[in-house]
Amino acid sequence: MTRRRTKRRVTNAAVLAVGVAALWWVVQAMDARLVCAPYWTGYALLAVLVVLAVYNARKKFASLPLGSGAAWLQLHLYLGAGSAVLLLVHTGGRWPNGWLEGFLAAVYWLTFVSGVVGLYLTRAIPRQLARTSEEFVYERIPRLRREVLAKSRSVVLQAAGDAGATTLADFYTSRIDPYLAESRGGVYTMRPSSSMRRALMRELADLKRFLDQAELVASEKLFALVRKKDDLDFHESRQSLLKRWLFVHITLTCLVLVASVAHGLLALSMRGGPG
Amino acid sequence: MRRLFRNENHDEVEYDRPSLPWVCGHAAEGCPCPLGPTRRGRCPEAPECVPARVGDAWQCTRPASRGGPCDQADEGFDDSLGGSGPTPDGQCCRVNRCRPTHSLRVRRGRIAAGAALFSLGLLLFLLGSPWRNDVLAPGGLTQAHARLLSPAKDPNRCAACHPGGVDAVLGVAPADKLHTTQSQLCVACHESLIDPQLALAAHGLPEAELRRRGDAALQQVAAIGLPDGVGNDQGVACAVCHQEHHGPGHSLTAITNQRCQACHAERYDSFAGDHPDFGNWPYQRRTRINFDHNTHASKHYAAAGEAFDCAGCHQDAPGRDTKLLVGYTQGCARCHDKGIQASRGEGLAVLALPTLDRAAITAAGEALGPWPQAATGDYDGELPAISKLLLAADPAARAALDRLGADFSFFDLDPDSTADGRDAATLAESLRNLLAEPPRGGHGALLKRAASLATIDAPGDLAGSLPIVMVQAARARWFGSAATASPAVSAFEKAERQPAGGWLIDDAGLALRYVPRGHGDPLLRAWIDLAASLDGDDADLGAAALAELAGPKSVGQCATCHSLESRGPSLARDFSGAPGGGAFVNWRAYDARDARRSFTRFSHRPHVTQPELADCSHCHSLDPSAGPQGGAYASLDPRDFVVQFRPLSKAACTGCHKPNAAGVGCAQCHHYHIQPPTHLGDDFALLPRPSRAESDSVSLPKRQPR
Amino acid sequence: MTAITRPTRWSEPFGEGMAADVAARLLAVEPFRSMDPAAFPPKLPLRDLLAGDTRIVKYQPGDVILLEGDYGNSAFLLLHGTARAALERLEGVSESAKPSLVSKIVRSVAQSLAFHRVPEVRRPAQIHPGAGGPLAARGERDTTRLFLQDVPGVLDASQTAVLRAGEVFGEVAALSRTPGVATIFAETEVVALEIRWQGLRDLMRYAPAFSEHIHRLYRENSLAAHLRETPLLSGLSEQELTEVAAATRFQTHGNFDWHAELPGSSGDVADGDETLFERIAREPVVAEEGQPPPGLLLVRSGFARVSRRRGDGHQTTAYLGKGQAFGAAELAATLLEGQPAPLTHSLRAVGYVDLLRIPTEVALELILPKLGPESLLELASDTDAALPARTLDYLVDRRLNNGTQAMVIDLDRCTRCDDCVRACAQTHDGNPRFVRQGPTHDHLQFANACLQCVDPVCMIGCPTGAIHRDGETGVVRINEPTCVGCSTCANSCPYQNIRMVDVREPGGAIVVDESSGLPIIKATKCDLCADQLGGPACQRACPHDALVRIDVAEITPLAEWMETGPADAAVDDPATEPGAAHE
Repeated sequence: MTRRRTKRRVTNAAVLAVGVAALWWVVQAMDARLVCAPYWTGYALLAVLVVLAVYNARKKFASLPLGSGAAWLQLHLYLGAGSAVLLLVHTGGRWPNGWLEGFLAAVYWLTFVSGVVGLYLTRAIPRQLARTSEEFVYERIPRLRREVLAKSRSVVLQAAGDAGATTLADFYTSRIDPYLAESRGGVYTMRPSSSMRRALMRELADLKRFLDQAELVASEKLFALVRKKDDLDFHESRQSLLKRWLFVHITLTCLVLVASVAHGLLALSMRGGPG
Repeated sequence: MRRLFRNENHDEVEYDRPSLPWVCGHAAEGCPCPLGPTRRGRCPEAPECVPARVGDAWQCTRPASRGGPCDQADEGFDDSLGGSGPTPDGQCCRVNRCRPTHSLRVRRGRIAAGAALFSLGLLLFLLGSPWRNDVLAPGGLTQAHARLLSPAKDPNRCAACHPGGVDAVLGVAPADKLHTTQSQLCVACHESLIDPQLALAAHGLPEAELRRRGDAALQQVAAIGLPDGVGNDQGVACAVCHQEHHGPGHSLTAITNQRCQACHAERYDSFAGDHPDFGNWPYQRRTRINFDHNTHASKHYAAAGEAFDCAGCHQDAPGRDTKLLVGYTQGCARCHDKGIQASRGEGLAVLALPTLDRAAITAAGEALGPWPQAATGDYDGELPAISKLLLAADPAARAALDRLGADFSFFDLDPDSTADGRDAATLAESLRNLLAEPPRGGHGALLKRAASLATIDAPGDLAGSLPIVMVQAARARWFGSAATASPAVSAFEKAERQPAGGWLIDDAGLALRYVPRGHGDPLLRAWIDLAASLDGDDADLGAAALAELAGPKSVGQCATCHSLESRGPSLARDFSGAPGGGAFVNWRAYDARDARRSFTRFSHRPHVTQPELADCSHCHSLDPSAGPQGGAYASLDPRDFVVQFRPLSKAACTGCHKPNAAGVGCAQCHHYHIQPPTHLGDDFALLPRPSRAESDSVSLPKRQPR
Repeated sequence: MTAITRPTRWSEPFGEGMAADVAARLLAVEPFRSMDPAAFPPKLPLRDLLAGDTRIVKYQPGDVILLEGDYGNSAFLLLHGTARAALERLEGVSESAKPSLVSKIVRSVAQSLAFHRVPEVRRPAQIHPGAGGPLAARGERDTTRLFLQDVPGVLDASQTAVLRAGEVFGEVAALSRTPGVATIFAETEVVALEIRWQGLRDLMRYAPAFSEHIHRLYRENSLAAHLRETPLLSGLSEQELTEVAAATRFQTHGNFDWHAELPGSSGDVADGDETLFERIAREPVVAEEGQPPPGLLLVRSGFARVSRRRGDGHQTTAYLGKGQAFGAAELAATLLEGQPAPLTHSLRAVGYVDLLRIPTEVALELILPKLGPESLLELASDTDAALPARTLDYLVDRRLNNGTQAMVIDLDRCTRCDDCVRACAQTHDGNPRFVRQGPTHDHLQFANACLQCVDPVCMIGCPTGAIHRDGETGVVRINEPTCVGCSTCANSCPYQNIRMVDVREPGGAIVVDESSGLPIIKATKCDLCADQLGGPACQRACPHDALVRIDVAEITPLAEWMETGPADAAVDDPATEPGAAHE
């Protein structure tokens, strides 16, 4: 966390606070003048939602100088926070009791929560990834895993050939090869743990004393390969999480947009009062 | 080939192309083919090279960028990809086949779009389904509305309140439907409760009236301009305050204090604080029945040895929040009947023949026609009030009356005055005709005369079932040739003999008298109403008649208790509305049941349940120091009177009415919608005309004929 | 780590088998005739040198010998015929001028609206040299040669200088690794001796007269300009500058062919078992810590490591690149204290370094006095490096200090969302021009995007000059139509930031050469979005301030960025940056 970011955070938060205060004041004033504030907060809310949604669309226009992605993200984050307040004001803090409105509120809050979760992930996971030995591009991980497997096999075969013993080879086929070949399940994707790797390494370490020179060399390589495989799995799970939370967030956003437009049309065409 | 900083992971790799829509099917196994899917997302199934013929052999031409010629066993060699080296017929030995997949981003986009489309479709489907109303409604209706409106499944249900209903949403609503506003629809149902013409006006009052009330806040409003629709011809839409679709539990009438203060710019921080005190409320006019609480409490009840208990007269109205007064019979008769009986005396003279001076009349050059002997001599005797009123219908007599003055007495006539003589003759003539009429015209004749000056629509029982024969008999006796001997019994005795009241002939006084039937005698009421109602030219005629009929010495002494009130602009604030001009008599005491809805509301019921409030005097405490109120009733203005109660102060309320106790919201004690007084509701003749400019700004809704 | 054997001199001779007798005949030609073979060391006889490092090249009339903006690699000795040097820019020969703002906007909009379903699509015009241009190509692959189609036309249209037999040209560009200043083409049939810089340097080392000749040329042409650009000398008048120039001495250290050797790949362990310190010790010492300063040393080209002995090792405290100075602090101290101050740091050549040495006395009387006392004090006060030693070592070992626009990714913030890659593709017709992958140090990743090197070795040996340094912006770019796909640049880039791609036609089919059946390939690399609005799209696209294009040739920007976060140090208009630093 650098000074610069702290400063940015403070200023943005301040701006947001001022905005919310202003909003509150305006709505109070409207109510006191018998103006039906929900219509106006509704328009504002829709506008805000559109701006929030545009954040993703903007990426498709990277070649245009539309301001830095970082600035947009900041806008997205703080405007998102603001939209929640705006919604509370709009609904008067009640949970709407219409079907459409209920659905709308539900998807909005889900979107909001998914956004917060996503923010946490995008801030937390990178550090975890940076702690691993190497950096892997998500799309390449399958290929890399395959290479690791191939390499490990050749290493073991060669060792077996040189040593004429199958101690390592047996252990490899029974324990390591399956580990290197498998791709981890959903549980691991949610909560990656290195327990399996450590178990394997322990066993391999125990095995060492029975290995001859060639096998020892090979086992050293295996250690590295097992570690790399584990890193690959870790990267895959974490990076896929980073990529997939967006699935939820964006999908929900679409629902929110559809529902809110429908709600807006209804509200306007059914609006009571003069005219 | 030179390479620095070699690293397995990022050596020799192609660019990553996350933005491409298709991914080689082999990418998952980690060996995407260099060609990649076609733009349509198909696998090109292309050979890795086009073998070149060298001499008589085929040679692999796979470029170095893809691993070089495949005939030397290349690293990561994989049989699944095929053999190595060109086939004998010069084909490439390796053809990659895969089923390309969409890239992560494309899949994400599809899911999102799919979800959006699905939800949209679902919405449209529901709109077409029986659940349409449930989908459209932003929430449940209040119970009342829900019960009244057409069944939930009715496709037109929304249209009951929303002009055009669902069709408006779909944009297929007929234009005429859209021209009605929602408020009009509300009022259409609620017109029994609220005057459609003023329903949307602020406080249900025409703006002129609103301003006439001279509210400081309103002055300010006038300056800043009224909020949405207040006082303009649209009025304040119902929906501005009454918000539906918040479920059965929701209160439609709840309103925040700020909203009141949209117009009432004079801010009250709290009820206990700067909310003004009540002033003389609720004692804003004298009681219609002249009932002196002090004297009754201190003298009369004490004398009778009775406890002066409020509940004796003020009783709970069954099923209502108000107190009601008991009637005469239950409340007053016990003591007051005797007095009223006593006041009958020999009865009320209706027709009487005065004593006329034949000589004087002749001297005046007039001829006194046939006249009873007993009634000739020096001028003397009175014309009873009722006779005067009846004679006034005869123009000649009216002229005479006007000259002599409404309250003249024959005793005052001057024998030497020819004018007096002429008038006396005229009156005598007119009297004879009057006596002669009933036998021919019956009661109708009398009523006709009364009606000629009556200003009241429905005169009461003026004739009082006067027996015609009795009139004939009287004429016969008085004008008969055979002068009768002096009568055996006096009028007084006769009156004594008929306690139930009725008519009698007073031969001694040559008068036809009426004996009232007791309290609430219709004939007396009718004539007093008539007299009171007279104004304009007839004013002093009426005044004279009232003095006689309702004076302290009068028969029945009605006016001692029943207060007289004048009508007219000065009473515009009085909502007890009464038609016509002049004055009227409060025959009935105040009845909370026909009170109109006013700005302030107070319900006794919840209050008196509090033990300490059970005793009325907690709020309404008599003020013995207050003088007798009787005198004030001489005036016709109900607002000058003596308050016999100590002023009722906020302090009495603030004990309970705190923010977190009984509450202090504006709407708790104040109505927004009030019923304008009838004499405002119909036309505003009695209102001070608004100034030109004002009347422009004021546009009162025109009443369509129904 | 796959270690490969260090290539030996002449293992790949320059001229394909230059016959010994030709070399012999060369010895009879000036300037070689006047060289003293005895002066050459026995393991490096002049004859072998000529045989190994030179070649005879024949040019048809109109053939381009040196292309303006092309990266000097060899000097030429004109043996026969006449050549012409264009004294002004030849229309359409070097890369066309910077695109106008309008065309930039149009291009950007078009880019953002286009949706590319297949990679690396090219229109035919983008594959072959523009037919309309004055240039055409003959030959193929490495032997491709550009020629002017209409020599008389060019001669009429533009001023040219005549070059005759015996004249040497291209030497400055070759020695100082600067883009050629003029296009030189054959007027008649021309036979020239191409001397690659390796040989050129040895000739200069052992043939003083020759080097004197070369240096004179350099002094006349570029030295003053170079000095003028040096901040320390900014205060000097023209006259003083010429004095300084006169006094300036040249010296070269280390192996000019730095990018061929294989330094260690990790911060502290080199290939095999050579440790960092051993390697530092192996680096040629220019000036030794504790010695009196040899004068004010200005880096003319190449790199140098500033280190201080610590424990039994050497702590790197800074690295110097083109235009930076060494010894100023000590000289300032000398001037302030009145007594000679010894060097507090050592200066070592990393790879190679060309230095301009301004003798101490000249510096003391002409240059330093010009600086105000406070700036003197500032100079004298020996400030510590802004970056930790290990980071410095890492940068130097990877030669990352070569990069003026290195793409640095803060892995602690990078969410691997690939927005940068997609932005890059967006701005390059759907094709990324870098790989989000590369050497990582702590949480910093130096991604495989063109560094815009101070010393762009990629430009060495491009047969057509397709890869060139843009005259205006200084951005190293590839002119695709003229790229023949020889992969020379891709192979010489030590950072693997140039990639060869198979060109496809709009339908998606790979374009193949009809004769060989091999796919047409083109070299591609980051061009800093020079034709785009708003600078590098990658940096603009990053939502997390994780990615920055930054000048690593200087130490401070990186230090600042790591210290204060993004955008402070981020280069706002990179299009001008490299130019400013290295014109």
